[in-house]
Amino acid sequence: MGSKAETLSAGELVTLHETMLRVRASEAALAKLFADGEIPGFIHLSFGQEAVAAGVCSALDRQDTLATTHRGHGHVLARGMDLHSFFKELMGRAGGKCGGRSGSMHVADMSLGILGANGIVGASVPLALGSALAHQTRKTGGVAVAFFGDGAMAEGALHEALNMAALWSLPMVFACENNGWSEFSPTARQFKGTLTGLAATFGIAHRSVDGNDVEATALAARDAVAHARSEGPFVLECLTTRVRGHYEGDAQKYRSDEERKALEARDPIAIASAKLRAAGVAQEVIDEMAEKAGKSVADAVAAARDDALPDFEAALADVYTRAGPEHAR
Amino acid sequence: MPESPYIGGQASVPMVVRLPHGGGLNAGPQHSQCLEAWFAHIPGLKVVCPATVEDAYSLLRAAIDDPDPVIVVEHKGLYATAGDLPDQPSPARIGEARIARDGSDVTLVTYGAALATCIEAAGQLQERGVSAEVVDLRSLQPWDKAAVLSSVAKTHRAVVVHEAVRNFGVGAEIAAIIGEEGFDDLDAPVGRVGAPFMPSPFARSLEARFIPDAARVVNAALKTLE
Repeated sequence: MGSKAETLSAGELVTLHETMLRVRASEAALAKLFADGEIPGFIHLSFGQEAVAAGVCSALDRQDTLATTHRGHGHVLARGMDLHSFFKELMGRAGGKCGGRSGSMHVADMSLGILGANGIVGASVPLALGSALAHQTRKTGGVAVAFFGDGAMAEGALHEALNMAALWSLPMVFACENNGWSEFSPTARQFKGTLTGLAATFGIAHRSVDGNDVEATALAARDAVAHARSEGPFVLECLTTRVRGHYEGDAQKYRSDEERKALEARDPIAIASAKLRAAGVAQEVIDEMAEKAGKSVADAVAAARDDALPDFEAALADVYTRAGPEHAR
Repeated sequence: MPESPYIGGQASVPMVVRLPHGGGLNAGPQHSQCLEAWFAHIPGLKVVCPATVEDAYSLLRAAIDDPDPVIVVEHKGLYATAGDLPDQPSPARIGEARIARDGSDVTLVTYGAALATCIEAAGQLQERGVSAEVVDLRSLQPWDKAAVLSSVAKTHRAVVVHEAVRNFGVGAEIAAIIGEEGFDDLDAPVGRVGAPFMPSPFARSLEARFIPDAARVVNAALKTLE
């Protein structure tokens, strides 16, 4: 694909690393908060998939949009969602970005083009498709990204969206996090084909990348987004690892010890740390970055604990659009 | 889509979905259903259903102007309706009903293609000395509770009429509200006329019995007067 950079600068790697650390620290805090009963409902954590979130979101411009999955914390945080409004939302507080009405699985931040996490497997795809059509129709120059997992590969909505994106040359990136598990089933048990095969069927440009290598993912995402912006849809399959269960509390008895042990060697943050050291960044600096991420998260958690509970009447008043010029279009 | 404003008032989806519904064309089960109650049951959606040429224009216009997703339910049997559209059609407001015929003895609450059935029934009732008022809801979600309750306060009897199957239908909601909020005005239980609880049949002879006709509306109205 032309003469593009094959590596990133140390500065770019540091930024990506900071993003991954922020996601990791948030997920670690959420695991503890959930275990302690401080998070209502249920949550799906993205340990092991941080490089996909950081890499793909690093390729986006301000006007771009994204829709994500039930395992979407990494994507919204990598896109730049404020930690305070994120934790307040997940902890069901008034100051949450969605007023405590959405929680982990439906968190959205329209100011950043985050159309929302989604509780339905594959449902991010048609949402992002609609956003891509809006970008094209309104000539915003923006690209819409659908994050989805391998579980969505067997969903009809994905197949239909691939067709429409190709048919209309929509500015869209299909960003798949293929972690090999569809909830509790290995992908091979519920999907016969391959994602790249599906993309090829519709004549869509596509590529598979090591989704645990943040540098490789970021570079591939740059190409994918550039392609989507100028030529049409792109399917980017990020091969990655789900470290935790489908949801928190899932004992994962369906996974072998060997598989779980092998996850350590593929830890995206360990891989990126080694690259940083090779690029001349001292271990102390890397440690400081992690410490800083942990502190930001701890501050956000403390602020969320102190925040008020949401007002029921206000929620009721937002079932339909309240009068306001910004809603008119 | 329907949850958009709910995410902290961050967004709205100004979307209009036109939904052809209804039978009478011998199109069989899949092309004759009346699904408006499904959509009316989803918080965040609005549902309108025009019965006249002018409303086909005005309600669609109101739906387009609305910031929220609106399902415009259009009876396929009405697509062939001819009528003059005024140069300046009166604007429709979503949630506002219309008195299609004045009356004093019984209120027929209806919408869509069943309006014509109710007007026909009101004519037949007139011949029997019964004055029926016909309320054309026009909008199902939200619906004009005030207009319906005020008509019932005048007539003291009500029958809700729609082509959709009776069970768990729009009529059930309206009858329940009249019972809850207009109980003291009622001289008889609220009647409901709708299709029987079965998929729309294909054969002409079957479908003719499936879709409520004026005779069934007349019988239901007379029952409230017994």
